[in-house]
Amino acid sequence: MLATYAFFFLAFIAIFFALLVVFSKNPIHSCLYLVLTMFAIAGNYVLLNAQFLAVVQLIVYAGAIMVLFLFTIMLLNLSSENEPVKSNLIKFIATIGGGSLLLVFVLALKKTDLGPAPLMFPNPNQQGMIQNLGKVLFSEYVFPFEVISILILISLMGAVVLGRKDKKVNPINE
Amino acid sequence: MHEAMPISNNLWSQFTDNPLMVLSIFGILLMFMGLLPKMKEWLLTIGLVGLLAGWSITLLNWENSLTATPIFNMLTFDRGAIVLTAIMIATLILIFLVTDHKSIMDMNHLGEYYALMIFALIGGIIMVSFKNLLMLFIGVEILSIASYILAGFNKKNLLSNEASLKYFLMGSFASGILLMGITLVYGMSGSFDLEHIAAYTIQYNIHPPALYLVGILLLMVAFAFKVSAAPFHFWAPDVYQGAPTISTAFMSTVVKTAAFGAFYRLFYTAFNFNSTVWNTTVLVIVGLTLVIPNLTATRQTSLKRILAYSGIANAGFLMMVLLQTNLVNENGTHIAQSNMSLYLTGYVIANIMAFAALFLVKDATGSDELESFKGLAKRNPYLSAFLTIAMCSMAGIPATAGFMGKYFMISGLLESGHIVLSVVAVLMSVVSLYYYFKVIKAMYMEEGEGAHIVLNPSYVFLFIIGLVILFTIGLMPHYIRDLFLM
Repeated sequence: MLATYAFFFLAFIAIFFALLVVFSKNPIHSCLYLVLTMFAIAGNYVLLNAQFLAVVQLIVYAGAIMVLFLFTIMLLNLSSENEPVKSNLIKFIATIGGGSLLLVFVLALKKTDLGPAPLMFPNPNQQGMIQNLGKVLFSEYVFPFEVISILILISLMGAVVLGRKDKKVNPINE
Repeated sequence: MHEAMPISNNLWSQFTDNPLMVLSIFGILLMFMGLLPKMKEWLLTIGLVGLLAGWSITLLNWENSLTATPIFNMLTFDRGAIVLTAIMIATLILIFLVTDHKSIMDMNHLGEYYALMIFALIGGIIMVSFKNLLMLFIGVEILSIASYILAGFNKKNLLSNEASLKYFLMGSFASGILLMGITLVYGMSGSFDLEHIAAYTIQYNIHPPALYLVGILLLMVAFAFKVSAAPFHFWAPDVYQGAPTISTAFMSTVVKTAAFGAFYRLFYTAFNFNSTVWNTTVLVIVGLTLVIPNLTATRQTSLKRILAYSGIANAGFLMMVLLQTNLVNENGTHIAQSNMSLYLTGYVIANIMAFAALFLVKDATGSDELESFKGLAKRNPYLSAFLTIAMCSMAGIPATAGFMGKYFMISGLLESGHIVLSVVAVLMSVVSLYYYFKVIKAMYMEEGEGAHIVLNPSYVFLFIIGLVILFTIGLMPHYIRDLFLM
């Protein structure tokens, strides 16, 4: 029962701050609200017995990525003044498009029988702990685990290629 | 649930079962060779050796592919996957031949350029052979992130920067939609595995849960974006124009082949049983994709942009394959995948020939406008002839691969009972003649100044091979189609 209350509380926080991210005029405020949203989502992961995921969410998103966001905003000196102005037509189209998608989602959720609720926290079998995760990662999912190293390699390579200052200016002919 | 997957006891089979291992090794090799300035002239050779090795491994598995077993339950190199893998590797070999040019050889980060293309190819191979939605996503990401970098490889050029950023933002958005679709499908069916999802689709065939259908819809939107089908095609012309020509050739051939392979594989394997539900959506997308780019392309004056729009229009033809998933031949074998492979081969070869010619002309004149093609026939009769044949194939002139590809697609469409769409397709094919022939007209009928372009052996080889393939498919299409099938 406690888990249900906790879920509603966290869901409210997540949605409330997500809305503030969008509506806030100051990009730094948006960024900080996003951190709070991330925290609320991490709480939801705990409720779903995904403790490891919750920790990773905090470290990677709330920690690393948001710091990067803040640095970028500060370095580019963004503020509400130099925000690009969108035409009303684009805003109108975007509202219609987003609203339609929302409608589809709400109706689909209402129509679908989602079955019994998942096991809520605290769950004795501890399926989301790092030990179980490691076992699955190195048995059932070992192939994608290895393949993803290529993804990391090309991301690193791309960062070096695009970020490095070349001594010789000799681009491809066009 | 945690059953340990048997790691193949024979190490050698890891290298010979599929080309992934060999290609990865050569990719890493090229990356490190890029560090050594003295090795620069060897990069192309090493890259070609690696690709040829990968290609041979693929062809050696041609026979086994009819009884292929899944690798780690994640990838299956069945016949369809092997055919598309072979097409993609061969395409990349031809693209590597196009890079045998002085302006590329002097480029910064050449080793990384080749390595990125090979790694992107690995992503593509994963995409056409996936058995698990997890692998699909990893493949899509490997391919896309490499393509974003390839699009922005010309760092000093603002258009290239814009292309890269635009491609990255739009592509990440599409990846998000793809993930959302995978999430919903997983949430309803309880599995990432294509066979489990297919079983779920059959089980809930009468009343598929609404959320499941939304998941399928989102997956379709994401793929329509990746293959640049209308109305999700707006990024394509800008990205294709801004990116370096070699990268554009790569994006419009290898990336497109991989995206269509994955698109067809997912919808044919997992969702085919309720195809009546999503067929209407595909119908609308195909109709739009045929009409919009063909009409827009008629107003373009740059060959690079014309080729971009032609890529979108061809995506419309290729997407017809999703309307023919239930089509069988007299032996009861599904032929849609084979039709798609045949179309893709013709499209890819003609595209590379066109991009190679464009690359040479742009290198000589500094512009990709049709202006710079004026009078090319007088200066370079052979190059113009090759470009003309490529354009004829793309336009669908009989006796070329493009004609047979379109013929099989439209006849399949008619057999599946989509008469109106077939009429639209034929009409739009006629419209496309206008802009393909604009190029030919500029070369042969108009006067222009320019220097003579020297074709080096790599280009001659590329054009001759391209010609042979285009006419082979054009003249004995049924043989090729059955080859892809059996």
